[in-house]
Amino acid sequence: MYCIFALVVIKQVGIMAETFESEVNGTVKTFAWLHFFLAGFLAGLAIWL
Amino acid sequence: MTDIYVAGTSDSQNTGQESKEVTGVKTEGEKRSQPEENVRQWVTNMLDRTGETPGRFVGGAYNVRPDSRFINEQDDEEVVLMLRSHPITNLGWIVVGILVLLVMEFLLGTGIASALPTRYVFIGRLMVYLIALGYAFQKFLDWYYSVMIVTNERIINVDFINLLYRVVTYATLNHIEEPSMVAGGFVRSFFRYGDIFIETAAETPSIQAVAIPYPDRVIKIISELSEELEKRRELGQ
Repeated sequence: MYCIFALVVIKQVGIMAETFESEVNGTVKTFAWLHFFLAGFLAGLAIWL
Repeated sequence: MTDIYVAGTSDSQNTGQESKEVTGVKTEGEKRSQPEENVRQWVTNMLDRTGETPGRFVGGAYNVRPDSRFINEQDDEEVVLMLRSHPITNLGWIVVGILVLLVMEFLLGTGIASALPTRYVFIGRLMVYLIALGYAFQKFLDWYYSVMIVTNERIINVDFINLLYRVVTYATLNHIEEPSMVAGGFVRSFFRYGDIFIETAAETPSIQAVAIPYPDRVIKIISELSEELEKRRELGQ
């Protein structure tokens, strides 16, 4: 479930970054993907353990 | 080729300079058109009159002439102000995030989860950290991307209500009736922020910007822009 939320956040960041140019847009997008991968990693770790 | 205009510093000597590269679209060799240069100059004059200097202030909440474009921006439009809620308004969620982590660590420290296998406690701890991180990230995004943009022609208010739901309200300066501000209370007075309400004569609803730094200066700039736009339209410019 949290992985789905993380995917929605990625989409949300994309929409937000379209609103105006900013120097943090790239950083925010990277962080959103990192957040998603962390969620996926944690889900995989929970299943494995 | 698309004519990309980039707002720069308030250097009034900077005329006829070639446009700079914006988001990978090269515009070297292209000069600004005369109408755009006129717009730039009168915005510079207006900012000089109001005593504003271009730059980023109050932790990015009060930006004068930021060098950025926004969605649906017109070619002859220049961003004068980009405003966000005062950073102090983020204190609530920051405290909540930290408290959640502290409470979790405290409870784990008391041994409440000692009956559970270690690996479950480990996974649970990581999950709480991730949820706190996601919560903080979400709150930061809401703060950073909910802005009010004041240009030489319009006021644009961008609000993100929830995930994937964006409300963008436009109001042209010649449709504004009575900009007003509310700044009461100790915290607001101390940190100099307040709410701005702008009624419009058009069908668009009134625009509200909450917890904006220096609301008095914002109102003054909006009034100046509105008057200047009215004068220029009467002159046919």
